[in-house]
Amino acid sequence: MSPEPVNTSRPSDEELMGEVCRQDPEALSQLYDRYSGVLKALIMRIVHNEAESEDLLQEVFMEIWNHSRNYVQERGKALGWMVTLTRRRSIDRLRKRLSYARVEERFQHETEQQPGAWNHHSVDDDLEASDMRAVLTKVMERLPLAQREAIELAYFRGMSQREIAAHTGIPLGTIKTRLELGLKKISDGLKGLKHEL
Amino acid sequence: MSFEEFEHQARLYVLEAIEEDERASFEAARREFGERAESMIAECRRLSAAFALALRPQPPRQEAKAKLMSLIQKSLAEKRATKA
Repeated sequence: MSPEPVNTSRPSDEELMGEVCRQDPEALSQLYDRYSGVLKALIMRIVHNEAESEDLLQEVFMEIWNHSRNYVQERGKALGWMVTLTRRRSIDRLRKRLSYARVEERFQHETEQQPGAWNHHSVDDDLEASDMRAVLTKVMERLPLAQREAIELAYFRGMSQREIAAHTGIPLGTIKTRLELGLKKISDGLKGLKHEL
Repeated sequence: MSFEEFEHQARLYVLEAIEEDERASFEAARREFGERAESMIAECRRLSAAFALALRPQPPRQEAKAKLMSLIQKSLAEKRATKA
């Protein structure tokens, strides 16, 4: 009789979330190992401050620990939920900050230096980039600059379409079209990554 | 609202970039399209994750994890003490 096959595959994010819900610290530790780098990068991109990013990352993981019951698997993947939570907290922090003007200045500076948040690394130069990240980066980089900028203002600054129009001085209708076209292209580009995301 | 229009609104919705005055018609269409709408929204949530995953990861300091896990253990101990 052949032995029972041993399941050596690592638990999915959703399984780990289930364990976090049952208050298993080891499950949270594993989620942290998987995603703290990604989530910190997102926080940094929004708040532009190292110390504040670490502080917010801790808050986010405490919130995951305390509110994991709010995650509903039927509504999407665990990573999407964690990213939404992280982005929301980071934008809240950004809005509350007294030194908002300084962030504005830094954002402006970075945009001038390297237009496009996803241009911070070249896929060709980055030998360590995962295949998935490489595909994602390519999708983002293929977007026309105007569409990418509108998406970045929405995503990293938490701006509504009207706020983007006011901020850029571009008509609301144009902003709507840019977002529509840009987001559609990204969605289409992600179709091949259906299972990874 | 056509489903194609709903798709676009759903992308804005997951990015929380939808305008307040568009929200009511979006929610009405969401109810009208039912399961199809919910699948579409779940699909759109991938967008949000994709934007984060496209950034270069920035691992936090080693001490950060130790601090977090210590807070978790503390909160767990407090919860157990409350139950006991």
